[in-house]
Formats: sequence, structure tokens, C-alpha cells
Amino acid sequence: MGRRTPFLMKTKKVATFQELIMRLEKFWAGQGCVIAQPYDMEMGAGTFHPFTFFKALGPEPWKVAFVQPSRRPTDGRYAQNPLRAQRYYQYQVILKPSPGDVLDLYLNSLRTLGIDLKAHDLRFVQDDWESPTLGAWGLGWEVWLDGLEVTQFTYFQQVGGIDLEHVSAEITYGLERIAMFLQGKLDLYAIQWNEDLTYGDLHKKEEIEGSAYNFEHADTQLQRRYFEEAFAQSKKLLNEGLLLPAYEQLLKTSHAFNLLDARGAVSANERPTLIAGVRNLAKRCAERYIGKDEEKRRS
Amino acid sequence: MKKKGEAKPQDFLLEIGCEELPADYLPTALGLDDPPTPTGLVFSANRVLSECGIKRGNIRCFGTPRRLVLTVEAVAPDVRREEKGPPEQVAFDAQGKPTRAAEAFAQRHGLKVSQLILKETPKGKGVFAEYSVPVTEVLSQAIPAIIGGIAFPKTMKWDSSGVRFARPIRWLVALYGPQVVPAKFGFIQTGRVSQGTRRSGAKAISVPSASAYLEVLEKAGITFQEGVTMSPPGPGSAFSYDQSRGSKRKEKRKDLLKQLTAKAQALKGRLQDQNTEEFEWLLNTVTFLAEHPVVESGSFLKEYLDLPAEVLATSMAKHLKLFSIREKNSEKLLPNFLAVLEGKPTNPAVVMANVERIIEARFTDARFFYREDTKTELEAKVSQLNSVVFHEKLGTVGQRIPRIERLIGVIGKGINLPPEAIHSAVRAARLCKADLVTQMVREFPTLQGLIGSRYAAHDAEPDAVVKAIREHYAPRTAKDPVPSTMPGALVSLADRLDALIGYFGVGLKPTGSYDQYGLRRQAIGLVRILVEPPKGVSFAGLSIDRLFDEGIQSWGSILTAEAAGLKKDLHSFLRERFEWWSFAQNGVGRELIEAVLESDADDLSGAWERLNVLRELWGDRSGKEELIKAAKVAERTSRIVKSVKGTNGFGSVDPNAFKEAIEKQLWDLFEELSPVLKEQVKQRRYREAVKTYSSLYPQIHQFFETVFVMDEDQNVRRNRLAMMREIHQSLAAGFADLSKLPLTGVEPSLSSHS
Repeated sequence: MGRRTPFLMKTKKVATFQELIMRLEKFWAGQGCVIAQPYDMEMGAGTFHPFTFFKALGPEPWKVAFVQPSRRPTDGRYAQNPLRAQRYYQYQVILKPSPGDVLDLYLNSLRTLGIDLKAHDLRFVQDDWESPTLGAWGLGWEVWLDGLEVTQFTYFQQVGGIDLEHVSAEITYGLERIAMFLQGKLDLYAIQWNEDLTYGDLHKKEEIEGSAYNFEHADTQLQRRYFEEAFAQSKKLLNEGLLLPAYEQLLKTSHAFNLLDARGAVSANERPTLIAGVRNLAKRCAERYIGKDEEKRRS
Repeated sequence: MKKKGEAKPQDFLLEIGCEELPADYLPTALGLDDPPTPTGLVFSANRVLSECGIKRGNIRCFGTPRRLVLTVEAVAPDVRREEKGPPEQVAFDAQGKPTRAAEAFAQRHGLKVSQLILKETPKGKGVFAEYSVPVTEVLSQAIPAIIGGIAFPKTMKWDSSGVRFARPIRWLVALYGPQVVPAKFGFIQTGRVSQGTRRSGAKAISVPSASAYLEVLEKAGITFQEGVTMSPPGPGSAFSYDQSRGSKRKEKRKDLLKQLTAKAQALKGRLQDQNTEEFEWLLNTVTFLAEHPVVESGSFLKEYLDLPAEVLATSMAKHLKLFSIREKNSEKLLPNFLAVLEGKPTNPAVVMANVERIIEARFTDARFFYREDTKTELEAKVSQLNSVVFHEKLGTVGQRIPRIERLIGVIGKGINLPPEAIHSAVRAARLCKADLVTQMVREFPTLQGLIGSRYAAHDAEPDAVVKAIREHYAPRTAKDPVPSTMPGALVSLADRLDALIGYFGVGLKPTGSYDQYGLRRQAIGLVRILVEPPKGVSFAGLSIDRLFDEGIQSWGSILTAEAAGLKKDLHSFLRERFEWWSFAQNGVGRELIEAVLESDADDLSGAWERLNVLRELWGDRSGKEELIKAAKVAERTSRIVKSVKGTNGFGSVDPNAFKEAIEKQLWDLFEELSPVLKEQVKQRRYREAVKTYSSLYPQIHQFFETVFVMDEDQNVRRNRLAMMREIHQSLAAGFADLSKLPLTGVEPSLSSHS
């Protein structure tokens, strides 16, 4: 691809990957958000973080922002694809209730990152987001910058099967993509993490190994056992009223399912059944969180 | 009554300002579907305004990604209202003087008692007050109802007011002439301040009056697509696309197409076929994805052109809403594309260079899929189809393959093809679904079939097999061409038959407008293939009934429906599709269709051929005369036969049982013509058959003039009826039951053949 010049950006000061995160932290802290930390378990997206899943339920206002390392085993490309990877970073913001000027806030956050919106093509493209395993859905957009999806923006309508009266706005930044844009890199592994090291220095080998593991080596029998055991454990913990531990076991089933899927070990027949099982756990967790299951039991 | 009649009608404007609406929702919201779905803005407005009794001119509507706009022309300043007061005996005393009740009622409406009106009601006479309400007051109430009355595929809440819309509403402009109409939807209050494009920083735009709206917004760089127009209520009231008063329609979509076409030409290429659903979708999408569209061109590296053109084109269209460009005289792609941007960026080249990188990343992905998929042959993927569910009640796709192969054999036999002629079709049937387990089809589901054919070519399958795999989903839509090769047509027929039998066989047939599995489309495709076979193939004589039998047997115990009833359902389903297609194609009268189907609805290909002859004769002056005579023969003979109920047939004609000379003559003539007629029908020389049959007309006419069929002698009667039945059947059995034709009041001349 010799002909290609890098992404062209008009920026004030080119931010490194870590600088980018710091700017977002500062911006959203300024908006009154709790700056939280990543959850310490494997998950497919920041939506799975309890600070998203549980806090989106109920009427209490909530503002939070955090980085969430996210795992999508089927997106592994052995570090051969410039945009896709099986493990990457999301920057997650939740604003409840969603403010009337939430899109303007978001655009301002892009400006603080150094993106000159006048010089680029910004689009909000319909995206009906749904997480069948979490029993959650919402409406919103993929945000495109010159055709590159840099953010997912969602107004949650339902979480854990519960209709939300108090709507949260979820902003999920694709950090690598924004960094590629800002730094004019063609390949995510070429992103400057700081002045000395690249994203590839930190993650390329891990990505190749991770892809090989997901697609070739993950022991499907073992993963299936993980799935089943975590599933049973989650149910048991729910019955014992231990909400977060039960939810953590749900996270484990979800990741085991994704690995089985990447190995092609989930047949089309059983896929809906497995997903429905996890969703059912998510619903029970959500109901327990808002005390709905108590009401049910009492009535 | 308040007098306000002098005030002139003025325009009303409502702008619903939103966060970006889904591009797919806007055509329907603007009534641009064909025919328009009555759920959009204009329909909601028409409903609400009519209910409020507002007098108005045309309703027009406009849309952009961030606004839905309604203008109502010439809205009368007052709305006439009427309120029922007390009954007559309460309003007036015995002397006919108004009571306190009447006075109070009049006062409440600012009227004198003398201005009240007496009117008849179902409960006796009552007193009524007629008065006017300023239209702005009525509009205040109407606005939330209009907004709430627009239906979208999905709606959402965005704040705790609980109101729903496709995306959050952020501002409302409502003006009657120059005046703001105060109203509220959820927490949003109407005003006169609109917003510019996001590129302009969404700066505030104050709108001086309803009629100035379009101009002011256009000046700010916003372009509109106009939707359907609804004319004022009354006789001849209708929706249309060209009733707007004076000013030109806002045709953003057409303008964009013009720009795109010109840019493609400038690149020495052309846009893809515009008569496809894909193109229509893409054009709609880009139209409704930008408030101020700007067309720019870009290019990608030539090395990607080794990927299938459809993969590149679909990837560009679906993932990035880009227009691919074909060579002028071929289906090959040029390494260029067109993008529709939102507004002019400071340096478009920067944006396009970035877009180029993204499509190349997508192409890299496609290449990864291609490489992964072609690591094994299609043949090796067939067994994986056993884990692809076709439908939870209908087993897997893998289980379908042997059934489809078997049906192909039956069709082949049915049209007298030698066994070796169907080898390619059977091979294609085996491989045709294998691409469902490829990564490429998972990424681009609309390319199923096409991807399979590419991989088949890669595996060096014979050309006929490659083509058949490619076309076996054809026709996908009513516009789509039918398969062009015999193997393609056979696989498509068998695939559709198998699916229809399966769905119907477990009770999943379409109901009303609900057709979840697209079975009507499947069946229309089936009918179309039968009536438009590939070159050198004819499906005439193919019995659908036999195919149903075989298909039902192959499905075996999976089906829950009882076989005879199932077949009946399937037959009538196909018959309806045949009728619909015949009607849609040539506007053929229902009676003609019924006539040919009455004679045989099992061989639909043959029915189509017969229908075409009948249609030609019906439209042709000289042919019609003969046709009408023939039809009269059929009508008279059939009517008398049908008038006799409860008999077990009439047996055969006994030439010695005739009583009158004329009936003997008729029979002799028929005996003479009958072998000729039989031969003509058999050889499908239907025009000649009709002519032959029509020559019976003078004799038949005379017969009915002189002979009373229902003779007292039972045997004479039976014999006459037997002859009538025989004559009727001689043409009705093999061509068409002409007694179904609309012949009321038509009498042919007797001269030409007597």
C-alpha cells in the first residue's frame, strides 16, 4: 500500500493514546461525571460494567465515565486488520437523565480532543443497538468521522428486560480509531501510546496470540464446562441474594459463549437457547437490583 | 356570532426539529412509498385537521435528517363550532319566551338569545349556539396530536415527559402567518426559532412567517426533499406529488441523482443499474443523511479489483453509503467511488483521502473472508448445513438438499428432459446453499447465491453449475429477472416448492398482510419461472399437483397438515398468485383468467399460454367476433347443463334418441368438427380451435330457438343434456371455459357462417 498517505487531520496538538484518555477524563470530570475504573473481568463492552448495567436502572441520577478494555473473540484478525482487534479499549460515558444538549456535549468533547469539525465529515447514522444477552436495547447512532465509526451513541430504552422511564445516554468512544485519526496512522498498532511506545509495542503480540487462541486453541469442552458451571453458579448465587457475585458469574458465561462462538462450536440450533439462558439471568439480576423481584415475591 | 370573516386565510407551518432521524424512516414519513403508507406526517395532519374542522388548502411536507416540516396552505382564520344547549322545552317557557337556562347558555358563548338556533336532534328539538374559534387556538391543540400521530417502525423516549418519537425532538417552530402558535409536545415549547446545519454550529434562525420558512432555511444551506401533497377535503380530494401551489417541488433526491450521474460520467464510467432495490435504498439513504449534501469522488487501489465486483459494491454501499462506478459498457468496476458528504468541508480532499482508507480496510476484511472461505471447497461445506436451522419447525437447511434434488428429478421427468440434462441442476442444488456457512455471506447476507457461485467457479465447477447457483434465488423481487438457464430455473423452482410445502405443511401460511417468510414473493417467483421459462425450455404440461405429491412425501412426518387439505391450500395459493401476476402484467380481465384456470389450473405454464391466446383474441377485432360466438356456444351449453341439479351425469349421447331434426343436425355437425377440434387443442393451435368451435354458433342458436331441452321424456331430455355437456366440454376441457367471459348484452351476428 505504498501509495497511501496517513489519515489527514487538522489538530492543534497531536495527542498520544494516553493523552487522549486523559483529555476525555478531564472533559467528563468537568461535566460532573464520576471518573471510574475498568471492571476487572472479561467483557464484550462497557455496557457490561455494573456501573452501566445496574446504574441505568431506576430513577437515581448517575453520571460516570471510564475506560473499559473489551473482548470480542470473533473480531480477532491476527493483527492483520488495521481497524479490528479481538481486544481493544472503549471509553464509556453514561449520563442519566440524558441532558437536552447531550449531542452538543459530545461534539465539544471531540473538539477538546483536537478534532476540527469544520474540516471533516461528521454523521449520525441510525443504529438500533441491542444486546440480546443483557436483555437491553436502545436507539441512537454510529457517529462517523469521514466514514470511520468513532463512537456509538445510544439512548437506553430497556436494560435487563426492564423498560426504563429514566433514559440514560450512553456514549461509547472507539479510542483506537480516534487516536488513528488524530495521529494520522493507518494501522491501529502504529498508534503512539506515549512519546516512546506504540500501541503495537504494547499489544501486537498479544493480539496475534489472542487470535490464535480464540480461533484455534481455546478448548471448547473446557469452555462449555465453564459456561455451564458459571451459569449454574450464577443461578445459585441469585437465589442466595448475592447480586454482584451472581452478575460476575453471568459475565463469565457471556465470555465463554463468545469463545465457543469464535471456535464455531455453537450450532445454530442451540444459539438462541444459550443466549436466552444468559438473558434470563440478566433479567433476574436487574429485577433483584431494583427490588422488583421482592415485589413479585410479596404479591 | 363573532365577526371575523374579513381576515384572510394564511399559511400554517410546523417544523419538528430533531436529532438525526433514521434515513430509512424518512421516505415513509413523507409519504414517498409507492403507494404511500398512511402513517406519515401528511396523513396524520390531514386526520387531525379534518377532525378539528379546520378549512385549508393543500398540505405539503418536507424532510431533512434533522427536521420534518409541514406546511398547510390557506388556513381559514376561524373554525366554526357548534354546541348543543338545553332542549326546546327547557329553553323556552309555555309562552315561547326564553328561560334563564337559554339566557345563560347564550351568554356563555357571548351570544344573544335571538342568535341561538333551534335544531332537530334524535331526542327532539334543541337549542344550539354557533360560534367561531380563532384557528390558532385550535392549532395549539392540534399540534401535539399531529406529531403524536406519525408512526415510525421504532420509537423511543428521551426524557421523563414520556412522549415518544423516532429520535429526540429538540425544537418546534409553529407559525400561523407571522404569528407563533403556542403549543407543547412533551417538554418542548413551540417558537419561531429554528436551527442551521451542524456544520454551521447549529446557529439559531428566526423564521419571520410561515410562508417565508422554506426560503429562509434554504438560504442557510438546508435542502429539502418534498413528500406527498394532500389536497383540501371534498370531492376529488387526494394525495399526489404535484399539487403544490405555484412553487416548484423540492426534489433533493432527483437533484442528487443528477449530480451523481454527471460525476460518474466525468470519471468515464456510469452508476450501477438504477432500477434495483439496492440503488433505490442507497439514493434514499444519502438523500436523508445530509441536510446540505455535497458530492465528492474518491478512488481505491486497483489491486482490490480482483475481489468480486458485487462484494466491493455491496461493501461500499452498505458499510459506507458510497456509490460504486461501473465501466461504461460492462459490469466491471472502476477503482472510483462517489460519496455524498454533509456540507462542504474546508478541504474535501482530506475527507476523501480518509474515506479511501476506510474502504480499503473493509476490502482487506473482505479479502480475509475470501481467503478463509476458499481454504476448503464448497463441497466440504455442504455437511455444515446440517447445523444451519431453516426454521425451528422445519429442520435444517442441510435436510432440504436431498428433497430439492428429488423435486428437480420430478420436474425434469415432467417436461421430458433426459436424465443427463438435469445433472447440472442436481449438482447446483447440492451446492447452492453451501455459501450460507461462509464468512463472506455472514458479512454480506444479501450476496448469498452470488458468493456461492464465485466459490463454485473457484472450485472449477462446470459453468452451468456456477450460473445455476448464482441465479437460484432469482427472481428476488417483482422487478428482478427470472433465471436465464435451465438448471437455474429448475433449482429455483424446486427450492421454492420445497419451502412452500414446508411452511404450509406446519401451518405457517401468510395471513392478511402478514407474510413473515415472504411466501407470497416465493410463490410469485415460482409462477413467473413457469410462465417465463429460460430459452429452449417449456414447462407446459408440468403438473404442479404431481410436484406437490412428491414434495409432501419427501417432507414426510415433519409436516403436520393432512395431505389433501394441504395440497388444496397450496393450489389455491399458487392460483391466486397466478391471477395476481396475470392481472398485474397485462391488466388482463379477471374473467379471462378465470376462464383458462377453470379449464386447467394445474399446468400453470400451459394456462399462461392459453391466457395469452385468449387475451389476443379478446383484444383483436376480427378474432373477437369469433371468440364471442364461441363463447356464446359455451355459455348456452354450460348454462343449461348447470341448471340441472342433483343428477349423476347424463351418460353418453345416443344418436338414435334424438327427436327433432335440428338436434340431429347439430350433433352431426359436432361429430364432424370434434376430431378437428381435438387435434387443434392437442397441438395447442388454440386460435384455430376457437374458430372451429365458433362455427357451431348458428346451429346452437337455432337449436335453442326451436328445441325445448327439458323434454317430458326423460331419455330425450337426458340425451339432449348429454350433447350439451359434450359440446361444452370439447373446448372448455382443453382451452378455456369461455362461458366465464363477460358477454352480457353481446349478440354476435348470425350471417358469416350460416
